[in-house]
Amino acid sequence: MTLENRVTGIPQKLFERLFGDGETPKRAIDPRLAAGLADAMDDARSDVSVAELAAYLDGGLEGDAKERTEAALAGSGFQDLASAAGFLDAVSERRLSAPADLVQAAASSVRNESVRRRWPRLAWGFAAAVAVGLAALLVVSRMHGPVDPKAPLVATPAPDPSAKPSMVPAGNMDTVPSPGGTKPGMAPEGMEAAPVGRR
Amino acid sequence: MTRPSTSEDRRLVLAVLSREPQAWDRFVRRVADTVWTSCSVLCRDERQAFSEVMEALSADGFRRLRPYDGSSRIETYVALVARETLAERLMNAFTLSGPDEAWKAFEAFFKADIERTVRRRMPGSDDARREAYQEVCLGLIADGYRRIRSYGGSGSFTGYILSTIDRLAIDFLRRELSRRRLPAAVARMGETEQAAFRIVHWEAGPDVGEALADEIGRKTGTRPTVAEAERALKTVKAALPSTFDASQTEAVPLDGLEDLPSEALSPEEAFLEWEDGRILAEAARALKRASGELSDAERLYMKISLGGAEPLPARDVARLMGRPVEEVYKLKRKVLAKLRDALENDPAVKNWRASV
Repeated sequence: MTLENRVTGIPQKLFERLFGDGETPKRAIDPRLAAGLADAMDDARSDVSVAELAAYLDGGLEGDAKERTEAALAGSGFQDLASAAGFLDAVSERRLSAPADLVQAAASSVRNESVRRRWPRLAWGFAAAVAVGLAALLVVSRMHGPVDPKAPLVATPAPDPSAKPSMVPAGNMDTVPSPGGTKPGMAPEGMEAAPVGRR
Repeated sequence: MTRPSTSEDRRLVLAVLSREPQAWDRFVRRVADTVWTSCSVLCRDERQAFSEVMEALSADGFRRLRPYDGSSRIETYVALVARETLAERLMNAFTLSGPDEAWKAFEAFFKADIERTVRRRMPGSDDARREAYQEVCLGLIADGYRRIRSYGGSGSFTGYILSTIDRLAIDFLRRELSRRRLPAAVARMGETEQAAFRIVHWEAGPDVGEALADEIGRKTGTRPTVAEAERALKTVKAALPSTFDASQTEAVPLDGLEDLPSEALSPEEAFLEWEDGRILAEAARALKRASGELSDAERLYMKISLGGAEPLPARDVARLMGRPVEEVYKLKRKVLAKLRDALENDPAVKNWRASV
């Protein structure tokens, strides 16, 4: 090899050996040189989220999303790529069954938490309804003077077209709001439905 | 038994997030085996780890489940969440519990990663790899686990540790396998001064300012201030012969080899050191120049290939990148072509050609 060819030829051969050819890896280069080249390429830290890494490894990314993830992985994130791939292989190979007692405990933990959260809401809703009813009773009693304790509980104000607003009868729960209550099927406040993933 | 599709996985997660009755129960039974297996791969206290991961999955209104959008299988996603959760637990263990106890859990967690890194960086004898493994561990343990505790919270703890492991493996390679020897005066100096010497005189790296401080930080694990870095380099230069010059690593005539930084190398060995250094410098420049022209996929391919001294089989690269093998070959051809162009246009090469 001429001197001139050595100047570019040796580094070029270095790259060819480093990137290999075909299925059979060629002879390794001097590990110091490989390490030195890796050093030259070391980028600032860039992280990929768990969701992105999982999707990339499962082949679930396309287009811009795939390019963005590859850009991050081509920083220093490629080490996480290799590590995650190795870890998932190990999990796939082991395939153990979780102990039944632990599964039951985990399944119950959120159920119990949901029950504990539901009761205070119901109690608060009931208390609020009673408070509104009492307030309405107070307003009505003030409008009509002292109340005959023997009179029926349901108030029936005399019809008067001079426009006293109609009041919610005491004891009528139909229109009492239930603050903080949830209807079946609605996500609790603060929880947003995530977008449907593509396939 | 047919495996559920990812759209079914997505519906299950949405049901959990909506707190539909029995949704969490179904979810737990769906992923329990994956979580348990993940814990057994990474930890020794699997039962405790399992409970903590399940708790983490449901915490804060199922915060860790919200990013899941069905782009991956739920098993893949949950396994990686488990890994990240257990890594955070490890990180806390170095502050909350005894560090020696935390180290045992740490080594169990990252053992496979250290072995993989060492295997790729050092093809060859098992003895050399065992030694490298020990050196990486010693580097992590050194100074009261300084490198582990230095995690600043930016990015993931796992990613930070993996970078640190690779750095330690590279430093071991370059320190222990190199035929170069430090001048005796420099060998008696501290870690910062030795790093400054290597950067400037062996690697033709930066010799001033933030860049020098950054490079020293990468080598030692502790970034000095700019003033400290420059003071270290000044100390090194004061200890070297007055005729010694960093530029000699680029073009030293054969009769000037005695000025090279080695006290025990023969002229032939020193010449080989110079050749290696020059080839590496050219290749490194070409890489840096070419990488600016590469697509993200091409850069990722290059980073994977640079992960070790032995090239990975194309099928392994294809699997990592989620691409057909044929596409990996195309990436390789493009990358090699761009590297060749970068080498051809290297200023040092052009200057050399103009001079002969």
